[in-house]
Amino acid sequence: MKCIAPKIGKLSLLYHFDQLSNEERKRFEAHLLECDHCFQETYVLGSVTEKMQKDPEPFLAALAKKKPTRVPAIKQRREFHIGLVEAIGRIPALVRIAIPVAAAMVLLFLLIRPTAELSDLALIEPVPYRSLQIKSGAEATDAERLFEEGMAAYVQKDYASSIEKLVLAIRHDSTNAGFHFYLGLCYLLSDSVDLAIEHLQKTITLDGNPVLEKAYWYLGNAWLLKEDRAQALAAFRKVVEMEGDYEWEAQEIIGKIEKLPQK
Amino acid sequence: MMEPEPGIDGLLSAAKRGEKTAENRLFSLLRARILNLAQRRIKGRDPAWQPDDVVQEVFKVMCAPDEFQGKPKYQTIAPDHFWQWFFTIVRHKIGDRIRKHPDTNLDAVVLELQPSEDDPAREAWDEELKRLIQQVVSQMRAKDRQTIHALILKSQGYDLPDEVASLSQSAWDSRVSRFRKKFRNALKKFDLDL
Repeated sequence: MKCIAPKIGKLSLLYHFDQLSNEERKRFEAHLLECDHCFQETYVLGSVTEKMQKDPEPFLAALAKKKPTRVPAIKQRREFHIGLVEAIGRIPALVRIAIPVAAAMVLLFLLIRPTAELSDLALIEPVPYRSLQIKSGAEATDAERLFEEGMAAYVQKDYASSIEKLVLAIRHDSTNAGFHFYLGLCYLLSDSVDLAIEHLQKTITLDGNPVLEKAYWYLGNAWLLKEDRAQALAAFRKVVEMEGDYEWEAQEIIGKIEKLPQK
Repeated sequence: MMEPEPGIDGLLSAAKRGEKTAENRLFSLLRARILNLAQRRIKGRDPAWQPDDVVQEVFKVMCAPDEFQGKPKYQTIAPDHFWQWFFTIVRHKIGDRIRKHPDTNLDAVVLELQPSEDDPAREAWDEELKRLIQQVVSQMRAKDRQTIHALILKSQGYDLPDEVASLSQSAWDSRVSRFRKKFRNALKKFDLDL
């Protein structure tokens, strides 16, 4: 089901946040009479956005907080250099004669090393996960039970415990793309990049895969951490081809990779 | 040349004036939309599902006489509030149907299971929905969280953060449009699906 007039349909979110002119609002409301896509979207988004607007403070407070992100490698190196200079300042006077020499060496090092690396571009954040409801009458298998236990740990950001359970789940059922995907992601979030790549690649090979786009996205990022430009580009191009949730980010990251000088 | 289709305001005004054609057109368009929506949300839950039942129940409420003027209720609603009023009725009617059938998975958080205002369970339901939405938005990526943050700020009349205020109108529109798609998908993952 697609919007019958995307130019009007795209106003949907602005409609819910009262950001349309009177004319635009009338056009959008008339469109609701004709378009099933926007009608259904309005049905759901209306309740959700109403909640955000009636009691905005908790949402604003939560959204204003910066999420913890990986410290880029370039920043870690910069902090190291700053620490080095401070340490030199604490050295006795006679030894301090070496400071200009050391400073020159540090400067030289900073000048000759590349300004940025592929791994600085990696964007690795956990994807949201919420336990799926098991329909009445269907008993969870051992694999599903272990998976849910693993994902409970994942939601708590306890990736080590999550990995333990997911590995066991995969022993019971090695053909489930979701199991491999989340295990790969947990490895990636625990900086075990090689294992992450192994499981993300496995995810991609499995049929009926609801996490294919995400698997390519995280695989691309894992290859960035490995400084493998060609593999990263190939994975991100796959994401763009799929035109899904990560299309925009993938396009951006491809642009950034292409701007970096090749080694 | 064909006349452009009148919007909801036009159809409601014409129906108020007693124009049968406009009234029929309005109800025929609404019927098609409700059928499609109800089919998606009830299918698989209710074995006794008759697609037209919800439509009839919604229309019954819409056409019930208003207690002060005696006119059909839908004719007394201000056009600006029509959709909000209409979606509330649809939500209640779909919710009634879901509740009536014990095989329905009531653990799933669905918008239709909203208790009424005077129900003691309403507060807990409101909190749960708020928590879910917060979880959805807080787990989105930085740029997307910035977009929803700015949308809430704008709707509340607050000043926008510099990085958003400096965007051109087209860049902002494009960002909101992209965010909309992601937001829908994120809601879907949390059972608040379309």
